[in-house]
Amino acid sequence: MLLRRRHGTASRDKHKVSPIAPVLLFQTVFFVAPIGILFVYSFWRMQDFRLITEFSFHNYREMANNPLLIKAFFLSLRVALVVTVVCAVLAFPIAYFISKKAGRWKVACLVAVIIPFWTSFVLRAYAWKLLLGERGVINTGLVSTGIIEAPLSYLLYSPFATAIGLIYGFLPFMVMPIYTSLEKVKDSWIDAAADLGASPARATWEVTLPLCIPGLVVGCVFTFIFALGEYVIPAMLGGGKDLLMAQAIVLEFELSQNWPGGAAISVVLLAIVFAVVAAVLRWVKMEEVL
Amino acid sequence: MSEGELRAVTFRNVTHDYDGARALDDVSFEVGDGEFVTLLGPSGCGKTTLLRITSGFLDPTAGDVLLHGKSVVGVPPFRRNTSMVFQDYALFPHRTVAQNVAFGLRMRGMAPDEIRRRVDRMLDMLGLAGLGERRIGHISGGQAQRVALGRSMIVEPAVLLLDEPLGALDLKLRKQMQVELKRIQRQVGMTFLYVTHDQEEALAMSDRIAVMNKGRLMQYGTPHEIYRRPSSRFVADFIGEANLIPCRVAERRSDALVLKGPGASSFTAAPSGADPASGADAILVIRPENLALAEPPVPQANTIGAVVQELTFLGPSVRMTALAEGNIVLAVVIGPGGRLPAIGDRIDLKWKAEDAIVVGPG
Ligand SMILES: Nc1ncnc2c1ncn2[C@@H]1O[C@H](COP(=O)(O)OP(=O)(O)OP(=O)(O)O)[C@@H](O)[C@H]1O
Ligand SMILES: [Mg+2]
Repeated sequence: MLLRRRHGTASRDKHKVSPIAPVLLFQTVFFVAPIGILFVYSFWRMQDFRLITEFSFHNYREMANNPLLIKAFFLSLRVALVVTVVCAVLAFPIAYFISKKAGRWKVACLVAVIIPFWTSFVLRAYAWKLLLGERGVINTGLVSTGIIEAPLSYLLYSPFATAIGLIYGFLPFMVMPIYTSLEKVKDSWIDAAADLGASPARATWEVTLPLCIPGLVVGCVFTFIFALGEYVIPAMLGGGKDLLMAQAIVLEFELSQNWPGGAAISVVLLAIVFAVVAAVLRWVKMEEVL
Repeated sequence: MSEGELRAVTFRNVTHDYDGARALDDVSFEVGDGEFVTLLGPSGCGKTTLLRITSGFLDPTAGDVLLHGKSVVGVPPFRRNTSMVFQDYALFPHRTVAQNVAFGLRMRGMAPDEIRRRVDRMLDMLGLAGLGERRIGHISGGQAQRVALGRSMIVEPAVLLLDEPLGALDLKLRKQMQVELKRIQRQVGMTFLYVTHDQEEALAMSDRIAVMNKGRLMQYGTPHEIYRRPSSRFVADFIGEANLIPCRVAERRSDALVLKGPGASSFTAAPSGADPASGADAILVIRPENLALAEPPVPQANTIGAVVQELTFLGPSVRMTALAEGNIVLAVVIGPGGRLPAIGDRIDLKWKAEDAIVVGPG
């Protein structure tokens, strides 16, 4: 009897470990190893088109002294921040509507939010070009109705266009986790708030919003990180005048063939991402709010 | 004080349809100030619907709801002076016990010092002192029930609405809370509109009971009236145990109603003013405790012959079932000291005319 029970416990423990093993292996091969190589590369340097495999902070010093890179770095942060905030502000009412008001249209609304994922980023970026270009739908419309005299040039090939593309592209990443949080907010809690004298806005502020913080945090982290590292949308809509980090990395790797330089920028970007995640995990105890 | 102000709540011909399905049908009654009124009825009879109409989460399809004489139809919940204790308590999970109780006062813009004072007093009264800083997930079911009660009572509503507040508790705690709830209600003198489908609970706690069925108000009265003078077969059957004997009205005299029962039996009952017409079908209702064994010589009127089927010992009393003429099963409670027949015995059961209630057959 005792033996059998021991056996049972042991096999249960084995089951607990086994599902993690493939994940660990996968992460090691496809994430940790490349990052490790990148990290090592970032301390080497190129000289006369040859790789010098000596440890130095050369690339990081170069970066700090390159005003274009510094500018790209801060522009990226700013764009990512604006995109995250705008996405959060837009996503909350959308998720709220789907979760609490859509009724039998709920599934249809959810699908509508996810549908853009079925087409490629490149295709969607082209669609934005058609809308935002100097002879695009918006400018043509505004000019022909006489609201403006000349087409607005900043609509396309500008950080503005990049931001619009990113907001559009990442909105679902914000809507879905907020929606998931909202689904756990019982209607009777909102009713109770109203019953005790809270106007609809006050009830949202006091009850619904605080209970959505986990979803908001998850959505913000995803959106911020994706927006910070995104390449396709800034490359297609940003116009190339004002570089973002991802573009700078590609330029270093492709155009300058400076792999160690590109690796160093990547490492900095990665460090920011890890710092953001660590800060957030510290700030909200996820297991408590989830 | 005008007449209207004496009534906390007035329901006037309240009707409610959910997408064409009628949930409330022409419900009218009044709840006096400081009264404990219970809505009692089977599942789906419209109790919750009526509470939600009172608190403003629903508007009636037709009819009017008045709080202290003023119509509140169309007034949103957050502007109504009502408060609801939800069946699942609906306590805010991200707030402590004290913060939950303070919520309504905070919404009213009261000063923090005053809020703290009142919350402490409320927690004291409910036996929750010292639990103020607890998280909602870390209290027991009975405590959660009292927190929900305190959170609603602290705003001093014109009427406190309670939707089966004891439904989630186990039997022992439930009985205990019944007593406590009634004590608190009497102590603060607040108007309670209480929902339950437990008739014992309703009889034990209420000043008045509104018995509902299929969206209609069947009877409104004190527990005593409802139990002793049910106005319909449904109420007689739903409240307490009742023996129902189908009859026909033979004669309506000014001093008595004469009925023909199964076989050749004939009964008399006190007239109630709302009796069925002569020749109409009727049901004679007799409570089990009002039936007794008739010793020879058996009187002619108000007796019925039966065969003893079962005897169940209940401690202080014995419950007997007997099969009477016309295949009617009768329940009888025989008090301490009463003679006990044996199973299979032919017996005669008698009752007093004033204990017999005549209702329509519907
Ligand atoms: N939102 C709704 N939509 C459609 N029909 C509803 C809705 N809510 C309730 N009903 C119906 O209205 C009737 C009354 O419901 P209500 O919830 O008021 O009953 P109740 O007396 O509270 O029942 P219970 O004791 O089970 O809580 C029921 O037939 C129910 O199915
Ligand atoms: Mg109900």
